[in-house]
Amino acid sequence: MTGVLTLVRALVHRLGTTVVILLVALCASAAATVGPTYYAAAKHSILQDTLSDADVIGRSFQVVQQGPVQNSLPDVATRTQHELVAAAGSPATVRRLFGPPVAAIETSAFFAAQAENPPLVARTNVCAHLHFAKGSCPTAANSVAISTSLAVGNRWTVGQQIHAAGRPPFAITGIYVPPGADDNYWLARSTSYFPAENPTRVVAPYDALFTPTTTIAALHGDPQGTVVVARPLTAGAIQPGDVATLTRIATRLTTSGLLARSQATVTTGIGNTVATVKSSWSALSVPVFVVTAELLVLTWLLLFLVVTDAVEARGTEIALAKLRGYGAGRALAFGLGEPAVLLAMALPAGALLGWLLTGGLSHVLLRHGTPVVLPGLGWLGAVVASVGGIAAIVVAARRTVTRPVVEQWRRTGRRSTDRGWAFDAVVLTGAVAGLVQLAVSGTFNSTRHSALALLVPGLLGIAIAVVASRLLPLACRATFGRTRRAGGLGPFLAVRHLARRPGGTRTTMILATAVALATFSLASWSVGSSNRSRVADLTVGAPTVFTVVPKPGVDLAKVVQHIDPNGHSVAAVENFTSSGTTLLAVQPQRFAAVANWSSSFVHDAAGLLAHLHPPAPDPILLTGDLVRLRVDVRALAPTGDELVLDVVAAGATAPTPVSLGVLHGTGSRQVTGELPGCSPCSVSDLEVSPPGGRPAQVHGQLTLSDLEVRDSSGWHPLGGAMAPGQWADAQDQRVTLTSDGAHVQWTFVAVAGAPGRIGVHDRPDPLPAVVSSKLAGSSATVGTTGLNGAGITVAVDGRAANVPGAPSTGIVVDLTYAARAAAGNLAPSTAQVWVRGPADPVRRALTADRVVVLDEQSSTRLSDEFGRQGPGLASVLFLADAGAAAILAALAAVLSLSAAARRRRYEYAALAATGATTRSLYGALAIEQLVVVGFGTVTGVLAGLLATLLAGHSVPEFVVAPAAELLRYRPDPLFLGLTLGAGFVLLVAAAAGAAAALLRSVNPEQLREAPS
Amino acid sequence: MSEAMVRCDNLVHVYGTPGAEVAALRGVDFLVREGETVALLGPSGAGKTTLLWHLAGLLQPTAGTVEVAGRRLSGLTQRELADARLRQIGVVLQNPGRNLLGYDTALGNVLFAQRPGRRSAASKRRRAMALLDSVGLAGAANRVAGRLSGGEQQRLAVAVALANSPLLLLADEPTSQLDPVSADAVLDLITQANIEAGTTVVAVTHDAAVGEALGRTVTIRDGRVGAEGRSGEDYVVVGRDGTVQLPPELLDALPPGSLARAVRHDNGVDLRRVYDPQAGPSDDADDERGR
Repeated sequence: MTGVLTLVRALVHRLGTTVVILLVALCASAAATVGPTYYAAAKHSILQDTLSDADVIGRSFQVVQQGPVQNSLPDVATRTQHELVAAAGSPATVRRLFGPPVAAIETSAFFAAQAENPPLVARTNVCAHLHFAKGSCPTAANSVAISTSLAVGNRWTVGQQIHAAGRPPFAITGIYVPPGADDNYWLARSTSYFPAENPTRVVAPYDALFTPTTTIAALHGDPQGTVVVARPLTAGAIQPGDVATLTRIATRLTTSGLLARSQATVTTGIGNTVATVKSSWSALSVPVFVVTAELLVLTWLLLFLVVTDAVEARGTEIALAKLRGYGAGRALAFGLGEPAVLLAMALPAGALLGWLLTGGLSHVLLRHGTPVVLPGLGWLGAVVASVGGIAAIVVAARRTVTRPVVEQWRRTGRRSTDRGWAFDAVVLTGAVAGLVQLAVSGTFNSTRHSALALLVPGLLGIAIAVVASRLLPLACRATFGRTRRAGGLGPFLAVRHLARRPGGTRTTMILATAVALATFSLASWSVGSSNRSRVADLTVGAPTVFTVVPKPGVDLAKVVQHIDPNGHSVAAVENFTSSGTTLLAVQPQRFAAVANWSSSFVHDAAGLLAHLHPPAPDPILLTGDLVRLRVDVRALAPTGDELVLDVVAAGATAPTPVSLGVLHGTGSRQVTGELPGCSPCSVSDLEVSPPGGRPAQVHGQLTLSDLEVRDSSGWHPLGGAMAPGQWADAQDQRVTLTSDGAHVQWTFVAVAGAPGRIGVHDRPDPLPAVVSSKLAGSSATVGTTGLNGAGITVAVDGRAANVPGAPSTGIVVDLTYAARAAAGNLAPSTAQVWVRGPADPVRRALTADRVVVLDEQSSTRLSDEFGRQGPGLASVLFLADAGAAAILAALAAVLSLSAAARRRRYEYAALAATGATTRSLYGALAIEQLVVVGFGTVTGVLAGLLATLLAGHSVPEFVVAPAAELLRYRPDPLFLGLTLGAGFVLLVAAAAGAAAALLRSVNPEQLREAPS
Repeated sequence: MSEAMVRCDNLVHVYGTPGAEVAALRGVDFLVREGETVALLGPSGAGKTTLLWHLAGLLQPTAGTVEVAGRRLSGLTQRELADARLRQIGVVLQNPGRNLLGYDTALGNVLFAQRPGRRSAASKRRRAMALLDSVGLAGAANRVAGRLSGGEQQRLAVAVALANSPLLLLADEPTSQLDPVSADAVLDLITQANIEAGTTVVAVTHDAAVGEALGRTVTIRDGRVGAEGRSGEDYVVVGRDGTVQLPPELLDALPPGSLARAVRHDNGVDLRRVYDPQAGPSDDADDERGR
């Protein structure tokens, strides 16, 4: 008890040292705890984020068996459950990981009168998941529920009986409102059940009829269809430890022989989801390990300094203990008691602090509701940090404890300098060897994200810091003469203390290393943050991108014009992504204003896109049932050629030939052809084909005029159809075309066996395009797929390092011309509306204008998603690393001064007694601290920047690495300058405070005490 | 005759490194018997404190031997030396503050110096309080040592040194920096320990009062035992190489540089000056030449 009281009194007596040791030990313990705790929490957050972001396939599985549907379900369900239990280990685990199984029996019912073939579905517990606009859920055999769209389209009502071919009459008991696709219950079947609400441009949609199982069981004729057993993951119940089990389950299901033997196929993306989770974890684990290790090493260094200093300060007391007959063990216990107790206190307190800090970080950064627990690894980290401190204590104390009592009274340390060189040499050799090894292995600036590469900043920082810290005293020595001659006391004392004081070089070393780590961390965060933002911007293409389906008859370009008359915030885009290329058919000026054109890639987007829409005549559109044309044949050989007008109907993928009749001999005549249901059709070309398909060479001279179309109101001339430039040589034949506005003179010599042909010139051919530089290379033309799915060639009019929406595969063309090139057939492409500015009003306006919004992407949201993946979450650790390094650097500066204070109090008291003013003493201290802090900071910043240059590419930034062209590795100089400047001010303030405290304690009365 | 508590034979101690050596003790022969009280006198730098540290087992002799309580210190391990300091040797250092943990209480300081053992905490505390009472600090037991006056601190230092009832009490300038009243009190404590517990005392001092109060004085000059005083009489000590250091008060008769004739007598040797470096040859010298 007496010993404890003595210890407490000693701790209070040396409050400053106590606080510094406690702070450093707290930092060490907290730093060691934050990494593992944050990692555990982030793993949970990543898992939950990935699960919730995954599509329905990614968080469920479904086993599908095609064939006879009656009596098949139990067998499929049993086999599925067997495989699940085998992979998971127990039925309880399966129940915990998955929601209840959902079984469905799907067949169809054909209604001949309506020519509709909707699915007829019996599904487990379907009534609980349908909302009824009218009536109720069917419970009896041969009763069904229909959707609102079926009810409206067919005028079916509740209570009505409907008759499907080969089926008994079904009684309608209710009309349901099709549910949203985000309900987990429907899993991947909602697009099959509710196509009317998920329209595509291709499929005619009929929603499902839901009925009890008894209906299907009672059907005659062994109905064919699909049996489905599906189970969704219970996302909230899944813990990081379940990932291995999920991997086993996904593998077992997808490779199951048991299911394959029953002709069942398994669809699941759980394996991919889990792989994404693991990849994200992996990207997080490397920085966590490195940051934690670096902080630990830094705190160990600082702890070593602190404890050495503390034990050194207790030298006379330890000598007294030894004088009183304390043996080595008792003296050691007495000498180390204080730091050991402080470390023991700091271990749980630091762990708690780390846990609290992680909780704060997690609250801001991680998924809401993520549990933050202190894992075993966190406690282990805290213990390791403290054990490191104790090891530092033992090493530091050994010399003090074993030193003879008389020497301790005298406080001699003649060999310390030699030992310091030895320590530095060991550290420097280790650091340089590590760097050489990394350089030889090609790790520098490799994009492989290995922990080794991330050790570069620490090693480089230490190596440079060691060398620089040894240069500082030499530089100070060089100024001895000048400061002696100059006469000022401040500089005179400052340079001598810097050159001679034992702790100065160590402090400079720690300061430089800490600042190097902080600089690298800040630079990495800056680079990673801007890269994530840039990649998100370029991947999505615009702040918001809606995937839409215009309802029939709706012109998306007109809708966009209606929503945004000024053309600055909304643009219509047709997107066709094929292997290797992405065709973006855009409204050039709108696209230039709305898309995310990064100034680092394209300086003048509007200028770049300005040439995509050169002037071209309008297309010739025919709306009606007949077309006619006056043809004056001046010459034609051979005779009997057929005149054919090729037209493309709306939605058609190929032209339809419209025969205008056979041309016999010369003379003027009017020819007529029957249009294939044109509402409208566009004229593609006009041909003169050899009679009977003979391989003759056709040549002739024709005058065309009076192109007219007939609709329900009669014949209408097509103005402009014979205008100059409207027609062009379509096949590079020997063609001469002249026009007076009303007549086109056509002289031609066709290639043997080919028809004479002129095409309607309604667009530039090939289409001018702005192409991604990587895709275009040095070619003048690039092949891609048009909006109608047919191959086209575009002319490279401009190049962009990255194209918004398709950075390295993008081909941007004019929407109008691309649509004409596709003959108006846009069904294969995806319609999008790109928005800059508030998205919600645009979404509402689109809906009001009969444009269905299927999906919404946002560059901000994607950037946030990147930020919540492993590398993004790890980047925050770099910031925390920088903060911790700055705090440790400040502590090092304060510690250095407090150690100096104890040593210099007597000296300063003597100087004060001989008339030195406080101002000049403060000046000496200020210069000294400014040099130490400034030199350490500058050295650290340079080392950090060099480390960024060497290892910046190796910092993980994405789970799936984007194209290298998107990434930039130059940190934001403003951000870096401001944060480092603030850190420097913090250091100077800490040093100034400590210097002021030292001078306040200087008193000539201290001269009465023996110098220590 | 009682046993020797301290015995130094031809003790030599050299400080420094090769090329920069300083001989602090140059062959000291020194004997202190059990229960004796000895004051070590001599000018600053003569080697008194070095001798005292040797007696405390804090230095290793360059040559010669030191025995305390019959054990040769140079043959002991560090552990045995520590044990000797714990059980047999109490030390009072020159600066009162250096004897104490300034932040601890007076009682805490005595307890800090007590040897660990099976005695209960209460028993140790009683013993410590008794010691404090004996040095007149019972009332200051719970006061912080650093805030005691210089005299109180030195009395406390004596109590601390006596905490384990040592056989040998070594005191380095125990009364320096103290006012006369405090110095007398400290001296009383030391002599009281000798009288009541039979503690052998060796004290380094410049204070004549201390020398008078202790049974014997030994004067160290230039690293050698130069003189010894017993019962008010001072005697020169003949070194093992025959050297004799004259007392300073006789140097006017035989100033440094004098030539003297040594003349044997029945119980000693007379030294007669034959040449005075300041005045030239003496009458005695002429007499000698006349004969």
